[in-house]
Amino acid sequence: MKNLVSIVMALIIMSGLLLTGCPAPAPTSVPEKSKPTAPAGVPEKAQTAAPTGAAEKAKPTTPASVAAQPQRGGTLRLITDKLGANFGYPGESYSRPPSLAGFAEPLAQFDEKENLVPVLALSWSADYATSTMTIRLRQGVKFHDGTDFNAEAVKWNLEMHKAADNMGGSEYIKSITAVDNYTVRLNLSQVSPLTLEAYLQYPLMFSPAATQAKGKEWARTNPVGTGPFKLTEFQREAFIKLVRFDGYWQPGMPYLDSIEVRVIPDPLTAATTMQAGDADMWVNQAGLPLKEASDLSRLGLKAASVPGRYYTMSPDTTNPKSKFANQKVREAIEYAIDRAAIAKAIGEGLAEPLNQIAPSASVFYNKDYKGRPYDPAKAKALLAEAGVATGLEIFLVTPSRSPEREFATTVQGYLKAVGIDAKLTLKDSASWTALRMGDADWEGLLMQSEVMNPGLSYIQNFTKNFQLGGRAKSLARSKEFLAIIDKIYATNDNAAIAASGRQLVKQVSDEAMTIPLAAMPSLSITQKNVHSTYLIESPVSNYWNTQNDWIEKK
Amino acid sequence: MVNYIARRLLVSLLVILLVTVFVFTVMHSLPGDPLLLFLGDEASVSNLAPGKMDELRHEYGLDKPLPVQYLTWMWNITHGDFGTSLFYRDKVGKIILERLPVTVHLGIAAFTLSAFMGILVGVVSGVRRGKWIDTATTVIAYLGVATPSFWLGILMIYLFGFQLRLIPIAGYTSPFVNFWMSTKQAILPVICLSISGFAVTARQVRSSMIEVIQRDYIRTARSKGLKESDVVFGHALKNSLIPVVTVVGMNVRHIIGGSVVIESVFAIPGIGRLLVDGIMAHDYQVVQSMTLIVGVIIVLSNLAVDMSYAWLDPRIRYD
Repeated sequence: MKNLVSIVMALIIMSGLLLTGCPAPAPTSVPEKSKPTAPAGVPEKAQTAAPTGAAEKAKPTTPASVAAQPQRGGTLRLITDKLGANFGYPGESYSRPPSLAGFAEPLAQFDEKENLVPVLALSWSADYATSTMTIRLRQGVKFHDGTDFNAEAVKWNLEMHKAADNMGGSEYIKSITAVDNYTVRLNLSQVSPLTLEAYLQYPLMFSPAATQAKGKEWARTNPVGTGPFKLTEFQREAFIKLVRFDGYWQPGMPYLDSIEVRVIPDPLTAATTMQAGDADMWVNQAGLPLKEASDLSRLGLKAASVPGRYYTMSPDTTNPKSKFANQKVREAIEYAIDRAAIAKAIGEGLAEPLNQIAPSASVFYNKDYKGRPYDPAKAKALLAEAGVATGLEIFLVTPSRSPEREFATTVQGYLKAVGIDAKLTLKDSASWTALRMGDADWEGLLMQSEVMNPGLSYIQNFTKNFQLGGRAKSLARSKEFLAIIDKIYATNDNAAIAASGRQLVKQVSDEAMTIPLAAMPSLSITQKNVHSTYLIESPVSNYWNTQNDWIEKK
Repeated sequence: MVNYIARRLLVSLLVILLVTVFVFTVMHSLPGDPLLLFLGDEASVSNLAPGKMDELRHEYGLDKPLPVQYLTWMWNITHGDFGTSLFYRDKVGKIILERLPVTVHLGIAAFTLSAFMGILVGVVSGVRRGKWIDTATTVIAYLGVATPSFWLGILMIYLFGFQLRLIPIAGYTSPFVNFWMSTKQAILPVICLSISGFAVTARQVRSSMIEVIQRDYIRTARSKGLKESDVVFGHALKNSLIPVVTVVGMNVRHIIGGSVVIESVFAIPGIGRLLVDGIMAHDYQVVQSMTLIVGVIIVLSNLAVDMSYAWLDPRIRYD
């Protein structure tokens, strides 16, 4: 009897192990990588000229659905990994996770062609002679508390952002004037199309009346904006509910009744929730885990994928004793690494191997640039020319998070094959950020990652407040590199900026200032009956037109 | 008894203070600037003027010497001020009060389940020693001790939440908001939290029962014609409870420790997740305050266990 019981228990245990250990059968066909294409039948958007010219008055267009007419009603159940601490007070740094889109809007946003199009601003123009920028505002817009969106509100928001130093180019704003009820003028010390973009698309507009009446502590978790949804329920890092704002300025919008956001930090739990149909959409602030997202995509859920972050390695070139001070060594590292294989392995088939410091989606990308393709023989030859003995030991500093850690581990293997012994040094997020953004030095190669800013604002990755441009202390910048950046900021012409940007990227690549690896996608996953415009209408920025989303009734 | 309690509380206070000093020192020794993490996404960091960082450091008191920071924090604690969270930009006390009831709710449920089931199964196993039920409960208990709670949680989510669709996969609802949903959502995390405590308790009860059931007074009770249930629960169990109470008291620690993982797996906004997020973000105030609170809970539970000995065994006296 005892033996029988033991056998039964053993069978139960083995069944449990098999149940969890055996993967689901792979589907016979794998859907193609989804591309951020606009839905069929989308009318041509009215495009506003770049800030250098006088812009025409334009109104936003509403895209048609992919295969059917939008249906009204329903609640979009969204899951995300975290919410953040401040999403309503512009006087402090605030993160803008996509999960919190819908209650506040910027003055303008990027469309799928990386053109700046109106949202709360109708048009804008820059006068380089007087160093001013004039913004004409949309009329008839209300905040959720019923107060008017007008020039005074914009002035207040921009002044708050300037005081908090949380907006690119805010140091160039000398003063802000409300010329009339719907016109704002920025008096600037320096005018550049790059900073003008930042003033328009970065700051979200919040109600000054609400913040002034109730204080910043209240405003942090009670955002009062002009968006199609207003916040009605908030549980810190747990749950948020947004309901449709009936006074929204776009008539007939939004389609949805409400959006419910739940925080599920564990990726396995989140993926299971999506698979079970208990959530309609999965969007993470830090990006979706590629494995789980790919698996869900193979199971038939919809995935929108656009370039998100790109990954590079920065050598300690300010140290004269470092082997990386020799350009031949840096070039050898590039030749030693098979970036196509790394991108395929780590990126689940969705990553793009980089041969230069800009991904192919960027206006700064040089189409004809060949780069340094995988060639371990050439890598060894260059190392020999540089007088580097076999068995060279270096440090490879990486954060302990994914995918940087995976990149570093794979690179370590490739370097070993050409005779370089790279010792991994894992850093926690705080230490790694200090190396990239603070005053700390590093020795060896430092894993880096950058957000792929849209359009011309991609140049910000190279300016002094970013790690490639100025913050990373151990990374040397050549005079040629700095000269091109100055040239970019000195010009008013967008085409010239783009051309100089491409020149900058080529310069970085030619001198192997930093070693490119891959660009990883930013993903969202939705159920089949959910028609979301996230990463489709504005694939290169974080802004999400939630008013255009709708759910097909099953 | 009062003197004993006072002495114990005094010693416990010293222990808690030492623990807070240790945690404070370790947290501040970790490399990396928490302000850089606090500032969030890189757009925010890169847009900051260099002087702004010093301003923020001063605002949060991070520019003061470490002993001053610690003493300031301790002084504020005595006035009910747990400080301001670097990450949440809100009072730590307020954040803890939001999260604590969640963990207490699940913790009490897990504690009750592990204690009740552990004692019940242990009694049955001890009384029916050598029988099939003893073997079965022994195997279950070993599984409970050996199984990692996070693995069990993921397995249960997959089986009961996804495959069988019996229970919600994740999340938490207050029982005062929706009692039925709260109960459904609590089932899996409570089971995961209680499993190891149940297993250890069951084994301990079994051992104690086996020892006590062989005593002369049990034979006497049986020979007096008492019902078996009266013999087991009225005489044997009470006399075997002292080591069991010790083990049950230790379950409090296991539940608090387990909540760190289980709350992340089941997306429960409790203090376990708060502690993890605080450590990852180098949120000193949150971590120190949480250490203090957890220390107090454990100290009080140990004291309650010690006091219960006197109730269980009248021969034990404290002075």
